[in-house]
Amino acid sequence: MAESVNGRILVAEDNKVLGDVLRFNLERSGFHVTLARTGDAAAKLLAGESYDLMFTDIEMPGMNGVDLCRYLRFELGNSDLPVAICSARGLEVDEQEMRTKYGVSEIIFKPFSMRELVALASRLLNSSAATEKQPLDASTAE
Amino acid sequence: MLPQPSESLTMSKAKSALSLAYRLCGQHLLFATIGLLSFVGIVAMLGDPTARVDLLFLALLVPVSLFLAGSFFIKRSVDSVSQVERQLVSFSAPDLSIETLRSIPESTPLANGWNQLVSKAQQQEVWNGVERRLSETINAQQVKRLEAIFQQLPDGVVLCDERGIIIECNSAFHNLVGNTESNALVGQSLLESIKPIVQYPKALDALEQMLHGPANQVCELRLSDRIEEGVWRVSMKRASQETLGQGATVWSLRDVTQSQLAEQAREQFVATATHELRTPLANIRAYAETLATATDIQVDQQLDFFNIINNEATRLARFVDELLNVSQMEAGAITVQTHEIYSDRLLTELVEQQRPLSVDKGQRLELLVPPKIPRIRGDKDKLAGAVSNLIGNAIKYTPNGGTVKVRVEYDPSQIYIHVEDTGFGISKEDLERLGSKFYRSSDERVQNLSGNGLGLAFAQEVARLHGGRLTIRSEINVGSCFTLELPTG
Repeated sequence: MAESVNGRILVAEDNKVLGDVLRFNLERSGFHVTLARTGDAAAKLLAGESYDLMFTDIEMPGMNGVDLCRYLRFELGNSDLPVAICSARGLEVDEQEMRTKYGVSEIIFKPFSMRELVALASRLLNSSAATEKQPLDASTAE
Repeated sequence: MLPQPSESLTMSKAKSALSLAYRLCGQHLLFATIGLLSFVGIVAMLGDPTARVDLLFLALLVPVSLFLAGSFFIKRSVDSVSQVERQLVSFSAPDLSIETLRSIPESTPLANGWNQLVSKAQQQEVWNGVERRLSETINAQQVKRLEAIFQQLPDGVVLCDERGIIIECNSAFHNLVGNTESNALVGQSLLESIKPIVQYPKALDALEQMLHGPANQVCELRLSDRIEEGVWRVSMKRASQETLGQGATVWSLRDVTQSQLAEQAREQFVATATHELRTPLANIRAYAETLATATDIQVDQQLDFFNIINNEATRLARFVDELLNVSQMEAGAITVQTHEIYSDRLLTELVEQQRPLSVDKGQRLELLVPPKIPRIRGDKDKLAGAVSNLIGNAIKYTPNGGTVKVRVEYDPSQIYIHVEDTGFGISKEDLERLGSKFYRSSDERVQNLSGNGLGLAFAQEVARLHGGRLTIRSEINVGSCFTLELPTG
């Protein structure tokens, strides 16, 4: 199922050890993964490249996950890219705000399972592919 | 007043009235009879033509003198009574005191009775005066005591009228608003008096709302967007007693900055601790799950993954140890096991342990130990933990390419372990709070690095337990020097 999507995923994670294992598992499932070690690096990549899904940590030095979402949605004006965030803190993320203001699709908390993560990535990529297809189908029908 | 005097007053009045009536009647009768007889004698003499004119004159003189003598005696009899009457009449005026009563300088029973009455009444009056003065003194003392309590209260207390103008405030309030002149604030509005130290316009709005709001309110007032600048707990009660005035409000203001800071540090700690626990756990789980599911991984990579799990588990264990140490410190239950320690060997070990970290950051890590340093007596594990924290911090908070130096000095009684760096440096305000548990500098460069705010608190406590101390010198953007002073043993 996952192999069929072959989406491009941008992973922003400052913890080197965790970033590596995320990349390892996502790539094994057939996704194309770009790993950014800081929020600023991720922002640069977002401005230059196009992705199908962004997965970002909240706690990062410099530009953090919330800043990154703000940059993506309001400065780059990209409202389509599905975003999932992961956080090590159960306290400081305002889930409601992340979902409504920044259009975050999923929030998962560390420690999370790799299987869960891969499933989440597949689901988000599939659903965004479906919503992209819908208007296409409508236009061809007319 | 006692009932006795009034009783004796009526009694003596009745007695003297009775005997006076008899006396007056008797005297009247006596003189009237003599006068009548002399008048009859004169009339008889006038009938006698032989009577001489000079005798006739004498006969006229007798009744006249008798009349005068009678008047004199009667006046004497009623003299004391009329004095008493005069005094009683004047005493009936409402504002006259007992002191206006005078004794009568005579020795008639009436005068004696009256004098006794007056002296008793005056005596009573003297006692009343003493009693009054005593209670006045006692009241004044109570007022003074209440005033002293009011001024000594640690909380600022303010009484305002219905428009919010200060009627009364204590010295704690003066201190809160930084005003040193006593009573300079009376007559000012409460909002105006607070305004100079408030940097947060919302704070004044909140007070204004309280002033016009319900009768009983409590709020936490932040003077600025930084907690360090001050947080007050303000409670307001609209006065119900008439004595304080219609619509008057009583305010009590307490500086809760310290407890707010402690609370903030605690919250920060919970957040940090959660982060510190979840991060290695996330890694362990991710790698273990990967190893369990991906069976086709190369052996080399498997080994790498196992090593990572091991490292993360170690990191987790270390954090749990630190947490435990701190909670033991908090409970005062930390124990020091004393052994002789060769500090040069220990320091070499510790520096080498941390070297990989400094190599990663391209830093120079130096150890300078003079020959023949004295041994120290102490708990090797705890001292190692404290020094490790200091070296680890120095590496962490020094930018890439910097220098960290561990330098030892000694004199006959003390050994000084300096950990110097060319790092971020510590601001003056951070220095004051640095050793307190969970506190981390608000410097953005520090906030961007993970840390739990326990390391220095631990090092400080270890130094204290060994009879030494931890001192910190620092200059922002130049570097810091942490010195562990320990007695030699």
